Amino acid sequence: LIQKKNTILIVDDEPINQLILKETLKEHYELFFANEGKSAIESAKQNFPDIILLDVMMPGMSGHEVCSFLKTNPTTSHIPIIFITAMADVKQETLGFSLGAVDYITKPIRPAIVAARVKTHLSLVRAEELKKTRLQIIQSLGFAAEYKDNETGLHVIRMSHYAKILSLALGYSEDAADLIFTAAPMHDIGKIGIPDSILLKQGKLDEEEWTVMKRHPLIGAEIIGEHSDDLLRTAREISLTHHEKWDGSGYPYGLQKEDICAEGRIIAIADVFDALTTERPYKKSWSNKDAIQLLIDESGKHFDPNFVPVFLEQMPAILEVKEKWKEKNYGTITKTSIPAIE
Amino acid sequence: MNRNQFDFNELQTVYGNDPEFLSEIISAGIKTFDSVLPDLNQEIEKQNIESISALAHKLKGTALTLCCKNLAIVSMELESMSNFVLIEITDCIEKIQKEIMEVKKIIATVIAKEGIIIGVSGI
Repeated sequence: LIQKKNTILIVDDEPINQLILKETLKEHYELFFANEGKSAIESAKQNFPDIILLDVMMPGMSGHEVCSFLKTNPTTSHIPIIFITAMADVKQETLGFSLGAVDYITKPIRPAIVAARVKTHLSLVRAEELKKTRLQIIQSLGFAAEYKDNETGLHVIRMSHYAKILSLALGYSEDAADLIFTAAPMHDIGKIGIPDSILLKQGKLDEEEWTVMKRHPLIGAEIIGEHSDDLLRTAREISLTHHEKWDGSGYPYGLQKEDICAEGRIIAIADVFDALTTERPYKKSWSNKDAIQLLIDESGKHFDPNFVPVFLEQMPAILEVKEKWKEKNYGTITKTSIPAIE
Repeated sequence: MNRNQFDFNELQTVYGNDPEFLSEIISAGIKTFDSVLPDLNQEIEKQNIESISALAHKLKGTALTLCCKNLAIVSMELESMSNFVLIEITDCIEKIQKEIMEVKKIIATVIAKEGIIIGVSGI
């Protein structure tokens, strides 16, 4: 397997600095050079380097101006920038960071320091890429399940947002709410394992078919597997418990009250509210009023009676999401048009 | 030898012992010293304090890289002048010129002793 070298754009008008940086980095990275602002911008737009080492004081455009330009350009805004400068001025450093730089290295350039900082920042970039890829795969899996019984795939987007809104209102931290938001699309992943003859059946399922259908939370948990990772662990819990009911009449285990994990109770509300208020091939959509009434009626039966009022308090935000992601805006979502859940 | 003028040991500590690389660094530094001085004189004629400050900044950076502490200090002095006061500026530039001459002499001695061949003339 050929591993592509990371690329670095070095921007400095001083030949001595270019020389030292070249000698320091050439072995492990592919290097591009620019000795002033305009050619730096051109090179960044053309070569999309993995990182930019940018001098601050240059003739013409300053490093700060170059940074500012690159950060406002969507094609280059993601590229981490490290300022290299002889200025040891807190105000200048603060300005650099406020413009989007990730780090500062002061001159004289110390090869060992530059090499270590570049390596660290490229590792962070790689970690961020892996995180994004992981989230995309998880979201895609959620969409895959959704494809089987819902033409648009927008259900998972809306219910994930509803779940996040409810989590935050319940006092979850932003990170914890994001975890639920990201794991939520996986709640019905187990439907992949349900035969189409049952999943897509028009009309009521018979007892035997219903028994098969009720296995989807367990199948989902099996697909996700057991992990120590928070996201996958949460996704598994959600898959397993989102059809449990507060009064113990749900499935697959008939768990009651707080024996059902909080994430499962949150998803239950978000999932049902969205299912009710959107049209499906087999049913008309309910009005918001009727759906809210059902949540109230089922509070303490299907749903956690402590969570329902909190969800209802958030109705303006919920309806905003519903409007933003309404079915008719998007039609059928194709493989290439799946929107990122953000 | 005054290490504040040129610290060859420090240069080796930071950039390693490869004579070829050290030669390239020293050559690049001296080229910058030589190119900045005429530019400084031009900017004095134009009374452009911003350009003088920028050139002094360039000189300071190169001096620090080349481990020439005294030259970096006097360059910084020029860089930080915010008003164009001819006497102060010319005085400072004279100090810089003198320091550069001293540095070049010391470098010539050191590289001869170390057997380093550099690609610039005037040393």
